[in-house]
Amino acid sequence: MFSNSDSVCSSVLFWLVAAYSIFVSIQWAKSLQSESTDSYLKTDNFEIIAADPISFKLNGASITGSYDNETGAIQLLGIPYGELVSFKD
Amino acid sequence: MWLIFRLYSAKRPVENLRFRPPVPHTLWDEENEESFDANSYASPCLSGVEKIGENFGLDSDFSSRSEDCLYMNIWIPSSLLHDQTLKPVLFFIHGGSFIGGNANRRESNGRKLAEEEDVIVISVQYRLGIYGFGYVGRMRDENVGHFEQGNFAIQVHSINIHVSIINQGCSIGAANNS
Repeated sequence: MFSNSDSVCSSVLFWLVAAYSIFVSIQWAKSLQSESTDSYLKTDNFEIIAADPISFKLNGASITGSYDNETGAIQLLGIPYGELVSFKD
Repeated sequence: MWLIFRLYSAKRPVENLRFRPPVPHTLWDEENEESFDANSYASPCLSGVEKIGENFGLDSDFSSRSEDCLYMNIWIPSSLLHDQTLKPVLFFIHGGSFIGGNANRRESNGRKLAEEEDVIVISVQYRLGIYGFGYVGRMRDENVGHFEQGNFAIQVHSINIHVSIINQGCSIGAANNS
């Protein structure tokens, strides 16, 4: 019913389609991951603006911290609650 | 991260704000372009009974204490640099019998915990002694120290719903977590 060349052709086509669908799936997953990271970095006006020294941007303000020498953890010390403004009752 | 920083904003509890609950301020508002250097510890809280605490060995250095003490220290795992997913937050309240302790002591330091467990550790200070837990009669909001401890936790819980929050404390700080 089918010749050898038909079988070879359909087999090649099958594997081409399979490879293409895998390729597209990987690209789609990568794009989703990229979108997710970007949206987190920029959402709510939070952004890491420098790695060394470590600096964060929050809205218009920025905070510069440091790395702990022993563990490598980022440390932000003495973050203030704010500044003195007269209390209005 | 953004939420956390927003939560902890309050004006300094001195002068007209003494004995008052912490007041939200505009430090991190959109129009604020301040740069803050977070590389040194802030002053521990003054309690008004430093000499008593000293006799019990609670703290040895009271000279640096101040009413201007509503500060926090934050330790963030370095993995945040290449993995910007939300991290669990460990919220630490120091001990000291309501009159001593601070967020700068060794037991309050979260650097190892942050890096090893991949969590954000926040160690906060709250007003102590007469400034935090004194009853001044005319106001409904006495025990502002409790308010500060509780308010942090409650707000973190209510806003960071999708983030795991762990409350932890030492001594009276642990008791106040419950």
